Amino acid sequence: VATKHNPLRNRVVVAGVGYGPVAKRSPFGELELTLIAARDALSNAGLTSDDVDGIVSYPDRSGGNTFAGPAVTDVQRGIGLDHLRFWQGSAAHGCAQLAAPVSAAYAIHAGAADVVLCYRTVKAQRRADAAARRSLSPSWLESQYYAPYGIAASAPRWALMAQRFLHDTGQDAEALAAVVLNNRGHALLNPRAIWYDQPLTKEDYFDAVMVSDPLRITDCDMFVDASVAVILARADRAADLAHPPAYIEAIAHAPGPVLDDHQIPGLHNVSRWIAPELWAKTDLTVDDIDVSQVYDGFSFQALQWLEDFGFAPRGEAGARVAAGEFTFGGRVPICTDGGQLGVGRYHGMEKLAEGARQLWGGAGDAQVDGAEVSFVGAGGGVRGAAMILTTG
Amino acid sequence: VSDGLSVTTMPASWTGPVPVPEPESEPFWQSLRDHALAFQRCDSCSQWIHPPLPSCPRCGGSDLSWRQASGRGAVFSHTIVRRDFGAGVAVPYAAGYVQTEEGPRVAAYFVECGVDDVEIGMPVQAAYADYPEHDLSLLVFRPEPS
Repeated sequence: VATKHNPLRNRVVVAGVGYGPVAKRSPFGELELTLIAARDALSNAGLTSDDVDGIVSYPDRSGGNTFAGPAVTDVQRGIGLDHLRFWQGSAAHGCAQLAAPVSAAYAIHAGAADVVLCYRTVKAQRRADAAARRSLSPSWLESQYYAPYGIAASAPRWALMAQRFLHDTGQDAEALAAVVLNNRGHALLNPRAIWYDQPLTKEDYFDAVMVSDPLRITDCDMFVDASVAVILARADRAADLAHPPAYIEAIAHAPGPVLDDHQIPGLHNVSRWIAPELWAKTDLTVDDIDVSQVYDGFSFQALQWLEDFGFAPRGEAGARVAAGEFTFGGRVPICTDGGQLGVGRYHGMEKLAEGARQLWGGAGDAQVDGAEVSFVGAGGGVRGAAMILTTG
Repeated sequence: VSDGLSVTTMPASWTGPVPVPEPESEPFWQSLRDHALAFQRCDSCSQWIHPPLPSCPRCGGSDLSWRQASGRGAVFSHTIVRRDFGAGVAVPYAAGYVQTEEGPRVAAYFVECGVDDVEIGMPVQAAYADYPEHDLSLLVFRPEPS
């Protein structure tokens, strides 16, 4: 049941964001990529490592997860965080791609820390995923019911959700194509994007190889080696920071009644349950959002986020993307950095970084003029979280 | 994009993932070996339960019975997998979820029809692919004869 209780409002700001260089195969190890991003974020915030008293990552290596980044212990030592009061490395379950900043915001609000470094680093994902597929056998616990049926690995599992979503909303491949073309177009404005210099036409989209119907390879974000760091701070420290405040207005992450991707009622995306929770926590409405970083790890997920949060009526997201409502000059530009479909598979926390940059006026060629309210959402299946940021 | 001719064919021997049952799930896998799909049902509140649990999540009752299901259901979602992700079944293959008549949703391969012929809502009937070398039978569904 959605609750209006939101003591967090305007208590925490995004202080700075930073990036490591993106590449299909980076010359940097995952720790160095992370330290580059972390130092970039500190510089961006106008802070030094001595100011940081918290560190969080999702997921970190200690969970043994194949898609984890470096352990917080290594990053702490690497960047010299000698005054920690709060630290946390989490496993892959929970608030998902925004889990680190969610935990950081809660820790700051509760008085556990004042300035928290969050990072997400993805590296060598192809090798890790190949290893994970081999280790599918033997399957155990809940995976025993799905792993033997050829749908447990990435694209097929999401394809089943995509198929059901398109069926239920009366949309088709044209809707998927619209999102891919929209976000790939935005990537042409972002030198950091893996598809920066590679325009995609509608013909290219439909010519792309089908991986698992209805998902073509172009519907799936490109694996990259990348790192993003986001620093959150107490709002009453905002005067010491380099940027005008980007306040966290509200956070929500209600997962729905089932925590097993294969058994979700209706195979709906988690955004279905996060939306009422988020809107209950704010007096703002969808019409107040100036810029929206919806999740687009797979193209159809962006449509789900748009419809579940009311950016588009049910069944119309694809047509409205195609009509230009969600690009620059349209009603609400989405995925302004190119999204994961355009930048590459940062895996979600870059959504928060881009949402904050837009409020600072620091989004370069992708800046949405006068943006005062940012929507940020990340996650698919049962795992996800959403935030609203404002300039106050 | 597809040739319209492919049919999902279960391999003669199994090289894909092999389940390791828990005490509460062993009867499910045994029911497949017996070619008689079964689910747990709560004796107290009649709730069907799948995947299996040690007790009823609705009423907390610990008296659960294994009841044979009809084996009938409808396709809830489906995909044609065209890239080899290590499933142990030759691509392209059709797989997805079936909403059974009793309510539980199960994963399965779709056989005895073109991979292109599977549609959401299509009535299907359970069948079984046996791999005695692994003491394993897998659930497959074929179109229900009309």
